[in-house]
Amino acid sequence: MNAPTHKGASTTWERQRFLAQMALRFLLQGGGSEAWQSWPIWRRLLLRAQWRAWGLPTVLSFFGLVVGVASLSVAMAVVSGYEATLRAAVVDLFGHLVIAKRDDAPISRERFEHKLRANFPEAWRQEVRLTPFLTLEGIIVGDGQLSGVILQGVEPQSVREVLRIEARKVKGRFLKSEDGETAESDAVPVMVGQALAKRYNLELDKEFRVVLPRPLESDTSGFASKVLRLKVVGWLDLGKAEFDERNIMLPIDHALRWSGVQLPIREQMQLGGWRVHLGRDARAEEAQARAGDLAATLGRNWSVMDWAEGNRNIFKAIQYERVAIFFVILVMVIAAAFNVASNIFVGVLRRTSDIATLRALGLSQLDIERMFRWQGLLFGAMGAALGLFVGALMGLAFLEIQKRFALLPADVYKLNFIGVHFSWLEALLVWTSAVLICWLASLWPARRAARLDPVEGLRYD
Amino acid sequence: MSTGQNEILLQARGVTKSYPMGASRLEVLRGVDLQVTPGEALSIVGASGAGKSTLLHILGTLDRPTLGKVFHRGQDLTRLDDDALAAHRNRSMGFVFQFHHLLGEFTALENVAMPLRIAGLGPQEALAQAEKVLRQLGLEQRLTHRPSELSGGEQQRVSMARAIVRQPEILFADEPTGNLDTKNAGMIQELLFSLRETHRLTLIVVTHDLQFAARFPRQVRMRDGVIES
Repeated sequence: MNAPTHKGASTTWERQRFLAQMALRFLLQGGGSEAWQSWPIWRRLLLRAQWRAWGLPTVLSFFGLVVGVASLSVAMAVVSGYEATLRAAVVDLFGHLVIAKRDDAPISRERFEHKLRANFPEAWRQEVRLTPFLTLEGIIVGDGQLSGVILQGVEPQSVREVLRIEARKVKGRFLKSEDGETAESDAVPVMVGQALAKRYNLELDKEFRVVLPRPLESDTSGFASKVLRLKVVGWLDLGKAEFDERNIMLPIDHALRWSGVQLPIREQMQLGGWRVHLGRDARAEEAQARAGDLAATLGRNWSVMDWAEGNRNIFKAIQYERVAIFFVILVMVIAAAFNVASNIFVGVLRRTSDIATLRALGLSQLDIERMFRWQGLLFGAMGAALGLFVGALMGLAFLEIQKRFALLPADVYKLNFIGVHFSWLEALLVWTSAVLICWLASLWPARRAARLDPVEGLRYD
Repeated sequence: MSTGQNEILLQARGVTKSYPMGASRLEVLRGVDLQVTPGEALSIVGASGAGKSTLLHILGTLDRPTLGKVFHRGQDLTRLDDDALAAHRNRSMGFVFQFHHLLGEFTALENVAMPLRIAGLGPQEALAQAEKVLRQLGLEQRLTHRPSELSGGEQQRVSMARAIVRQPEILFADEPTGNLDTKNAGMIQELLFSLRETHRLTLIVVTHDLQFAARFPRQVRMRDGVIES
């Protein structure tokens, strides 16, 4: 007898392949016998013949799984998008690190930059970028209302390399170097957060006033005020509502002058500090560790903060939310898996005769069990893959709806726009979870299939 | 043909099969003894409920006896586990049933290739061997047809091709012509005998058809779960 033996070195793989193919065919072709079963699968799907082959219960359980996985993936993507948007808003305005000076002793800019770069790994040094800043607080008055504002003094040339502010310009122009040389009698060109601009009706080229309170040297309990004349040259979308409502960006030279510093910023600096970009966004995670090292090196006169410092609670909450949302929505997938289990079970009952035939041809009980486990696995794999695709479409729809309608009240969510961030790792996690759940759901019907008596199945057609 | 111990291919020794029925048990087979030698062709006849099909299923390892033993070339099959029995069926036995029991989703070619795939052959090799057998049975025009596109006679021929594609030692047939018209039944009968010759098969057939049964060199008559003659 020259036929192949039943058990050989390569049969395990071939057997699994055969069982998987059988499971797929049983799954896709539903057991009907119409002529269209010979059509290619894409044609059947397009012409709905496949849905007829599967029958309504299978289609419903499949879509249940798709909806569950889609919801899970889009929820994860929105949470990640929220985190990414928030992080971008913070990093774009503050940089990865903020190094603030605590005293007003002059320091050589060149020496300081050199000292700072020396604290980073060699590979980073050329990529690390710095820009000086000086922050003042003032009060804007207009249209019968007043509110506190932050005047961010920036150096127009170097700030573009450190903060991603230019990309956030929605109207007008960005600050130029010449803006720092504006005569004292002229209004100082500034860029304003768009929420502030809308609130105070600050259209381009419009002049407005900000009151800068300054403590009196003679009486520290009192203060004098200086009125600044500013002119809007651009609007910024700073992402986060509280940034957008308070920030005004102006050349650092003016900020220094108003704060009482006389020395030109290009040579020395006395107040404010530095914003640092670590060269690559991927290094943001390391900023916290770097901040600690830098603080130790620079000494007591400097404070070093990483980008997450002021928002650490929010970012921590997002991490917890992500896990909670994952498990809450995973319940939907688990519910869908019950449908998958009942669907496979019905398939097993309908295929009693086929199972008996396969037993007669040489499949063992374990093989039959494996075949229906494969079915659960493949059902889950296809449903989860389609679910991820549908989830991606839902994510895009969410972005589009946000653009067209004011979906998120900025005062509630802190952000007026939430990005959708699909990560391969999260997609893999969602897909694997769904497939695993479907596989688990198939265990019981698969066991039932294996225990069917082949004699019963062969008795009738 | 010698009936010495070494010449026995298949042997049932004191095979009893009973099913629980309320407080009592229904005895379908009662201590059946049967010996089959290599290359033998025998028919099993008897009235409905005599236990013919049950005996065939037990000899074909699709069912286990309640009591008694079944030996294949001296090996006690009742001691084998399910995996080993499945392997044994795939390697040594072919089955033809009253209803063709072809899988509706698969073409004739794929159905015939199935025992080879189960044995571990790759798809290409299995399909090539299956095609060869289908051609031998005159079904070369029906390779890619699904069971629903075949006539009753063709369906049964495909199921016979599937039964012999692994070149088994024993072919079991349970009422192979029971679902066919006279013309097709005659054709299937001829094919069975012809396959027995060409493939040197041991043929064990259960049938109601006494004329068909009479064509076998050996007939086993059953009544109430025992072999009458």
